[in-house]
Amino acid sequence: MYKYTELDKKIVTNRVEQFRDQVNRRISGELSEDEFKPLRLMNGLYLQLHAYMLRVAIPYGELSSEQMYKLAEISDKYDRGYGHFTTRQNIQLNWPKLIDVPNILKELAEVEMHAIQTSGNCIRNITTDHLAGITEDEIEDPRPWCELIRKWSTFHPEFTFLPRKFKIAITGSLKDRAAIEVHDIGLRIIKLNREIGFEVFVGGGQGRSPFIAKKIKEFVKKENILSYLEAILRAYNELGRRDNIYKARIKILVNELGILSFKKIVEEEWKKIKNKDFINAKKEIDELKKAFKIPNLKSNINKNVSEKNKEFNTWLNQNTQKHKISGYSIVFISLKPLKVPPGDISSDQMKVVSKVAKEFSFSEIRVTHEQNLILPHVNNDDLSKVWNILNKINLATPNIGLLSDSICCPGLDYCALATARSIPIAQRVSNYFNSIEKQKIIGEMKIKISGCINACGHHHVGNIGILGLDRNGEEFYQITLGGSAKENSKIGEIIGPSFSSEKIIEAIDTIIKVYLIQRTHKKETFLETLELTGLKPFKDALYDNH
Amino acid sequence: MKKLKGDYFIYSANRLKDGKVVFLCIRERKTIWNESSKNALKIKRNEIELYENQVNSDERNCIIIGPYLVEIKENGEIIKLREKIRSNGLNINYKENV
Repeated sequence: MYKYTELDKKIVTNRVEQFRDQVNRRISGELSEDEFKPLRLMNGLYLQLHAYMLRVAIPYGELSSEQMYKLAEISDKYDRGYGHFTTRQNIQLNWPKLIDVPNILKELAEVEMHAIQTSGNCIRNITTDHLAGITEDEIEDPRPWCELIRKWSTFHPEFTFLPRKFKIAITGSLKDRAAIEVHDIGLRIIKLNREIGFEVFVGGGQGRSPFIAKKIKEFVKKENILSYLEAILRAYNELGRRDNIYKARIKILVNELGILSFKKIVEEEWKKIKNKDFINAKKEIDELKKAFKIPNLKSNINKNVSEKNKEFNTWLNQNTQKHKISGYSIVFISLKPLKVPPGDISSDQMKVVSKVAKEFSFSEIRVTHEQNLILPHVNNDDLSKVWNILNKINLATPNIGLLSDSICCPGLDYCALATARSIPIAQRVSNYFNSIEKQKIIGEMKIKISGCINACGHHHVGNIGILGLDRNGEEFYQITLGGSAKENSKIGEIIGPSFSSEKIIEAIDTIIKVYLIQRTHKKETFLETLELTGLKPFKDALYDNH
Repeated sequence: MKKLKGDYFIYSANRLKDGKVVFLCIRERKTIWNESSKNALKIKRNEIELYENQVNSDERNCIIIGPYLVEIKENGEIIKLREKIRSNGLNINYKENV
C-alpha cells in the first residue's frame, strides 16, 4: 500500500489544524455559516437531514487493517458505532458533532487518512477497479496511476474552484469494473503497438442528465497523461457553466459543444503544455509502483478447496474469485445481508474485518464501488477459516453479483436532497427474493436504487434501476431497464409511469418473471434477454397493455 | 425563501455544535430549541413575524443553523414525509440488524 511521504504527512496534519481553527472561529461567531460552509465541505463535512455527515476518503478504495480498525474506533467514540461505504469507495459517518470533527480528522491522520477531495467543486477522490493488481485480465495495475493523479490533483491551485465537482476513474483492464464511462473522465490502460498508455473518455455522468462518456483520445502516452488531463480540466474550467448548477458538469459542456469541438479545444490547449515541466510521470510511476507491489505470495496448486459444508460451498462459489497467483483467492465480503442497509457496517464488524485482513490477507482490504469489501489475497487453505469468522458476524451472505447485492444511496432516511426513501426498497427487495437459490436461478442482476434524481444510487446504470420520486407528498418509484456500468455502458430506459411504494416490489417481481419466461436459456443474462425482446413484454406485463 | 403554503407551522433548524435537529419551543416564557417536535411552538401564519427576529438572532449567535418553517396541520401533525422523517429520527434499527 502507498505510505505517506513526509510532505503528505505535513499537508494532512496542517490541514487538520487549519480546520480546527476554522471550527473554533465558526463556533465563536467569527465565521458565518455562509463563510464556513465551503470550508467544511472542503473537509468532507456535510449537513444532512438529521445531523452532520463526514465523508472520509479511501483513495482508490484501498484500506489497511490498521485504518479499518481506526474507523471502527472513531465510529464508536464519536459516532453511533457504524459507517456507510459509498459508491465512490469512501466511507461516511452519519452522526459526528461539529466540535468533534477536528479530533476525528486528527485521529484519521494518525493512520494516513483524511477527508480531502470528498466534497466541493474540486477533483474528487480517484476511483478504480477493486480488483486492481490481482487479476489476470489486467494490462497494468492502475493504482500507481491513481496515486499519481491524486498527487497532481490535490490542492491543484487552478482546479480548486471548478464549475462543479469532477470525478475521475481508471481501469487497467478491458473489463470495466470501475464504471469509467459514467465519470467526468474515464481512463483505460491499453496496449497499442506494444506500448502501454491510456484511452481517454470524457463527459460521462449520471444525475438528472445522464450521459455515457465519449472517447476523446485513442491513445495518450504515459508520460503525457498528466498534461492531457490538465488540458481537459483547463478547457472545462474556462468553458463550463457557472450560472446554472444543473448545467455545470463537464458532460453538459461536451454534449453542447459536441465531442469533436471539445476535443479541438483540448488539443489546442495540450499543444501549449504538452512538453512543459509536468511531474515526470514515467519517473514518478516507477517509484509509486514499489508501493503497490502485491505481497510476496507463494504460488501453490491447491487441491480441492470445497468442504462438505453446503453453506461454505455456496459462499465459496459466489463470494470468492481466482487470484492471479494460483493457490490464492479474492474474497468478497458482502455488505448486503438481509435487513441491513446496503453498504453499512457496524464498528464490531469493522474490527473483525480488520483482524481477518491482518491474519489472512496481508493486512489489505478493498472497498468496491458496489458497496462491498474485498480481502484481496487469501490463501486457499484459509478460506474455510475466513468464512467461519465472517459467517459468525453476518458478513458471509453469498449474494455477490446477485439480485440482493443492490447498490443503494442513503435516500430520504439520511439525505437532505433526497425525495424518497431508498434503503427500505432495497430491504424489501432483499426480503422478497431472500432465497439465494432463487437468486442464483435469476443469475447476475444489478439492481440500483436512488432516492432522488442526483442518482447517487446509480439507478441509470442498473439492469433494473429504481428512482424514488415525490409525487404530491407521496413516495413513487420510477423504473428503468437495461442500464449497465460495465464496458459499453448503457443508460437504462424508463419503462413507463412510476409505481407507488406499495406496488414497487410487485413490479420488480413482474419484471423478473417476464425475464425468466423470455430468456432462451439459463445462462442468458437479463441484459441479453432485454436486447432481444425490447421493453415491450415487460411493459405489457407491468401495465397490462395486452 | 420558498413560498409558504398552509396556515400553521413550527420552526426547525440544526444545532450548530452537534448538528442535531431541533425545534423552537417555549419554556417559562422564553424561546428555546428542543430536540422533540412534540413540544414545538405552533405558529399561525400571521404570527411568523413575532418569532422571526428571535430565530434569526439565535442563528447569528451560533446556537442553530438553517432555520426554516415546517408546515403542520391544525392538530400539530407534520405534513411532509421529509419533515416527518426528520422529526421522528432514523427508523432503522442498527443494534438489531448490523
